[in-house]
Order: sequence, then C-alpha cells, then structure tokens
Amino acid sequence: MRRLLRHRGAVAGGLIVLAFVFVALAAPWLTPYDPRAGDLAEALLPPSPGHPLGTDYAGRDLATRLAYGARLSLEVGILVVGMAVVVGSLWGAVAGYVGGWFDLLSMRAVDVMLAFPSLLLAILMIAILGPSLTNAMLAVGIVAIPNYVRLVRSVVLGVKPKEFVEAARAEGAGFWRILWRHVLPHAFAPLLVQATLGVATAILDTAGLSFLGLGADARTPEWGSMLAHSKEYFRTATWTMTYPGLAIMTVVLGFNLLGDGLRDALDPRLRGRP
Amino acid sequence: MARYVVRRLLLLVPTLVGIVLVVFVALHLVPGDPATTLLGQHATPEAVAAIRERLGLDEPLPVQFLDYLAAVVRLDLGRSVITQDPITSDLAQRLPVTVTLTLFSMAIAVVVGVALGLAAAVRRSSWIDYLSMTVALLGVSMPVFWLGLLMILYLAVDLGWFEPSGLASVQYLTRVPARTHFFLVDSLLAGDLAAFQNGLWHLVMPGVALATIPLALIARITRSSLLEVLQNDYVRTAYAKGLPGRAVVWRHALKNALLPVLTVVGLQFGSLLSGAVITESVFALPGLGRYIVSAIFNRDYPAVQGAVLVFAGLFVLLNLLVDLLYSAVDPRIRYD
Repeated sequence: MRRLLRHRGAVAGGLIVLAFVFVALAAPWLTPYDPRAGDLAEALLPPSPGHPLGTDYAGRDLATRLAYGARLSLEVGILVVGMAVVVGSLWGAVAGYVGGWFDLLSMRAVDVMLAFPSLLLAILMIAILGPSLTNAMLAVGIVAIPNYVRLVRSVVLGVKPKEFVEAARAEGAGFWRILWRHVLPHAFAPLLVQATLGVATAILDTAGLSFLGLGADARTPEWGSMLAHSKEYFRTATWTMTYPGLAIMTVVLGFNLLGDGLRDALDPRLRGRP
Repeated sequence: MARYVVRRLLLLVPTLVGIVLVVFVALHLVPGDPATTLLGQHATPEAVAAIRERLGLDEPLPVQFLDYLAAVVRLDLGRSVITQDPITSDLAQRLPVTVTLTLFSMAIAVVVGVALGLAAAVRRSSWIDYLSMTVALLGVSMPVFWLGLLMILYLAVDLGWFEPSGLASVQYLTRVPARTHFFLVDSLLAGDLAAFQNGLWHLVMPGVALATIPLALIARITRSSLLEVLQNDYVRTAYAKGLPGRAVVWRHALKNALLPVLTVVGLQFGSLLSGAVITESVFALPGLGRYIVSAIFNRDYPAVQGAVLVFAGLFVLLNLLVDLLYSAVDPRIRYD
C-alpha cells in the first residue's frame, strides 16, 4: 500500500477513479434534470449557468447525461469485469488443477477465441443476440474471459506442485477447498492488476459498440451513444461531442494509471513495463 | 527456414478450422429458422421447404458444417440476403480498404512509436522523456471514435487541411479503373499521380486516429526495452572502445531492443483490426468494418458470417507474418 501511495501515476489514477465513482453514485443528487427527458425548445443550447455543459439535440442537459453516463459506465465496468473474472478464474483454475483432456480442450477453445480480434468476436455475438446495451456488455464480458483463464491457469500450474498444496491434500481437504483456500489466493495480485486494466477496456469497448449503434439506444445516457448522436450536430454544437469523449478518455486514463501503479507496487520487478 | 515456414503454415490449419467452426455455430445460434429469415414471415411452407433443401438445412449439423467448410475452402461464402450478390465479391471490394488502412496505421505506429521511445530512452528523465511518455499514456486511453471526430472538426472542417471522410474525392474514385480494389495501387497502375496523392491524403486522418493505441504501446515498450539493453556489458564495451553514443544506440542497442517491439506489433494487429471497424464508421470508409455493421442492422447473417471469417483470417495471417519476421530477425529462435 505504501508503495502504491508513493507512485505518482497510481495516485493520480486513483483520484480520477474516486471522482468518477463519486459522480456515478451521487448523480441523482448532483443535478435537478432528468437524463432521458428533454425540452426540444432547449435543443443544442451552448454552455450557460443553467446548463453548464450545454444541451444536446433533444434539449437534454449534457452535464446530467454525463453524470448518469458515469453511473452506467461504472455498472459496465463492474458487471463486465466481474463476469469475466469469475468465469475466467474458475475455468482457468479447474483446467490448470485437473489437467488432462479438460485442460487440453479448454486451451484450444481459448486459442480459437483469441484468434479473433476482440471487438470482432463481440460484434459476432451481438449479431446473434441482437443490438442492445445488455448484449453489448455480455459480449464484451465473454470476449474478456480467455485472458483470465490463461492468467489463473498459469498461476495454478505454478502452485500445484508446491508442498503446501500436497500437505492440504494429505490432510484430506477437498478439491474446492484446496482451490479456494490454498491455490486461488496466489492469483489475487495479478488478477487485481488485470481486472483494473480490464475495467478501462470494458468501458472503452462498450462505448465503441454503442458508438457503432450496436449497444445503448439514443435515450440511454451512455457516453459512446451520446458521441454517436453528436455526429450530425458537432460542427455547430461542438460541446455535444467534446464532453462525452473527454469523459470516456479521463475515466479510461484513470483506470490505466491505477492498473499500471498496482502492477508496479505489487511486482516491483515489472516497473516501467508497458 | 523453409521447413519452419511449412510447419507454421500447417499449424495454421487447425486454427482456421476452429475459426470456421465458431462462425458456423454462431450462425446456428441465431434465433429462428434461417429459411424463414431469408424468405420473411409470410413465406409458404413449400417455399420454406424448398429453400431448406437448397441450403442443405435438412442435413445433420456435422454434415452441414463439412459442407460449409468445403464451401469456405472454395471461397464460396454464399449470397447476401439483401442484395443477392455473392458475398465473396462484396468482400473482395472491401477487404483492400481495411488492409490499406490497417497497414498504413501500423506503419505510422511503428515509425513514430519507435522514434518516441528511442528519444525517451536516450534522453531519460528529460522533458523529451516526460513528453513522450505522456503522449503514450494519453494514446492508450484515447477512444478512436472521439479522436476521429476531433480531427474531423478541427483539421478538416475548421482548418480545411484534410477531407473529412471517404476513400478519395469523387472525381478520382470514378476516374480510376478498379483493378485490384486497392485504390492507391489502382491509381498508380493507371499512372494517375493526382489520384494517388488524393487517396493518400484521405488516409492520413483515419490512419493517425487508428494508430494511437499501438503507437503508444510501441513507444512504451521501445523505451523500456532500450533502457534494459543499454545496461548490457556489450553496450558498455562499445562505449569503452570510444564509439560515439549515436553509433552505440543505432548499431548495437536498437536492433536487440526491437525484438519485444515486434511482439507488440503482432499483438496489436488485433486491436488495429478491431479499431478499423470503428474508424471506418467515423470516416465513412467503405471497408469490411462498415460492411459488418450494416449487415447486422439488415440481419444479413451470411454477410456477417463471411466478413467476420475474413477479418479473423486476416488477423491470423498478419500474426503469422510477424512470427516469421521474428525468427528472421532473431536467429536464436530455433526453426524446429
């Protein structure tokens, strides 16, 4: 922890992430406006005291939509990465621990998944499930799974032959108990780093899919979808494009800085590696 | 070397079959009957039965897969549900746009990324170092679609330096005969330098926007890898025998420092191809990415299937090229 607090990048990233989480949680109390309903008479107003970041094409307050967008992005980050971490870790742990044909099949499946450019695999899934924000999140989550499978499997393979695992087995501990109490804790540090960086990727990819029209709809205050709908107006109403993009970049930057800092703090040998 | 290449090509086969399997299974997971999707809700049962037979949908799944695999090997990807055009010829027109964009971006990323990383490592802890690494950090976090819109607004609309969208200006697009469907190549074949220049100029903004993420990663890895190499004994020897710093870096250190860079280049082709889908949409480029997105909206499943297959195949091939390059650069990598 002390190493983390001495890392300037990590502190900056941590502050950005804290501010982001605060805005996401406090959105309803920060603004008097409705993020979904607008007044067409107030469409595309430039920033003013009443609307500090201006309004969009439907007359909705942009700052309000950005704040609720933070809420949605936080949800995206937690749900997408949570799903990928849980499924990927379990899969990787079982594959590494059990070995044999299950491991072999799992690794071939992972190889094939990694043979697709990630966003393309997500797009293929959306083609099956149909475009929506939930499906975009599901697709981005599934695509992230192989990274965690590989990571946890390699940790398990390293720990499995160790004496303390054998000792636990000799004491009569069951499969799940060994995995949970003796093996998985070793994967915690690398998982934390990967998950923090994974939140950045999840937010970026989900926003990208929404930008393409394959995620959130126009009413939902989602940053990528807000950018997509600014395309027709941004030449005259630049604020409709500038602020949502700035929001995505800042939050992604925050998680990237924090992730890099965590990696340096948890494993000083990797300091400075990209 | 030849044996190594053949071995790598053979190893490609199971991966490619796996990709075809995933795409095949994906299409069969689409809710509803493909025959009904093709003909619409009001088709007669006879028509549905006829098309089921024509498409081989009555066969058991493994047989259907083998048929599909055989068709893919013959480069027959079926017909678009919407236009009835053969998908292979649709893709043949769009693939060159995506390939040109991706390679052009990678070239920008490698040249600028290595230069930034080199400057940062040689002048460690100077303002150049901090500036390069800040640029790299911002690059990794920059959404391609936002950077694209910013460039269109400021560089194209406000300053008028570039065209906001498209492959080239209309007069050139209609004037240059499409032989290879690579616009730049076609314009050179036609001896039309003005068209070539125009096409290249149109490519700059999408190319730079797409290059940011790999550029940033390449700059970071070049810096850290060069810093590591510069600590080696042979570098100290080179300095000790009186070689000027420039010669040490260029002749001794850089070549060894570039190996990890090559690995990143290979890995980043995936993110470039993913980013190409978005970039093509921002800059209205008629490539594979835009084709897939519009096919999804049209529920044109065979077209989605074909385009994803080509995208994945391209990714695998680009990775193979990087691997081969890797073993050519580093003779320590054994060919067996």
